[in-house]
Amino acid sequence: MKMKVLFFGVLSEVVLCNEMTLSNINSLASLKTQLEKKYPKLKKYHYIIAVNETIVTAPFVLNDGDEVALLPPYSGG
Amino acid sequence: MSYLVDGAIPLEQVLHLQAQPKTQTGAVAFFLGVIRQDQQGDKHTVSINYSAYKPMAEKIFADLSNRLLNQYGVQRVVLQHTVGQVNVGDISMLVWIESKHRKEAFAALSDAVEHIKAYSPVWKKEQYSDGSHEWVNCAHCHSAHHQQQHKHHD
Repeated sequence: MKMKVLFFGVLSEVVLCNEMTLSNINSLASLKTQLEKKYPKLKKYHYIIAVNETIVTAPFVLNDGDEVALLPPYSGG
Repeated sequence: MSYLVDGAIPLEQVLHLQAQPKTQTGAVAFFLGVIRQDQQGDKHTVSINYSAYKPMAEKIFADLSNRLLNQYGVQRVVLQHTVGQVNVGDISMLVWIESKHRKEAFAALSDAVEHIKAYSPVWKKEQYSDGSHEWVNCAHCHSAHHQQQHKHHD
């Protein structure tokens, strides 16, 4: 099971990329745990999560092929 | 039509929109977001680099446009937002409303601008005169106190 994870704004500088592919993750909680274990600085940042372009909240089950995006506070305009 | 445009929005776009034929329009209200030269100690803003979660942003702009047309009964809504680099003085956002009367044009305009700022997955990175940069709404913004204080929430 694979999914694409996207990082925006300041988060892309924390993980040093805009996008990565992760495997064997089946929930938002486990995704956050894995990411924050690998990138401890992520814990310092507030972000919300979109799955397939829709904002979701935990608990949320992830499926094969999902696109997950980590979105820090918006600053458009 | 894409709501996100690369680089600064040309001023000619305003003239182009107004030049298009109108017979039932009695009011045009528009908003231009402009890059401000903020001063921070010894440095100042020289440009802003905007990035976006493009497919999600496009969907949010499309939904907003449809809602404004239905909710306020306005005749035309044009929404544009920059991605990429824009310099001080450049236009980064355009909201254009045409309606029969001014009241609904003003209401729709204000609603649109506030909605875009609150709900569009767009981020800006300010570039400063000393070569440094900072993500706006960055690490500090999860502090409620900071949100009350910081000018970029204006």
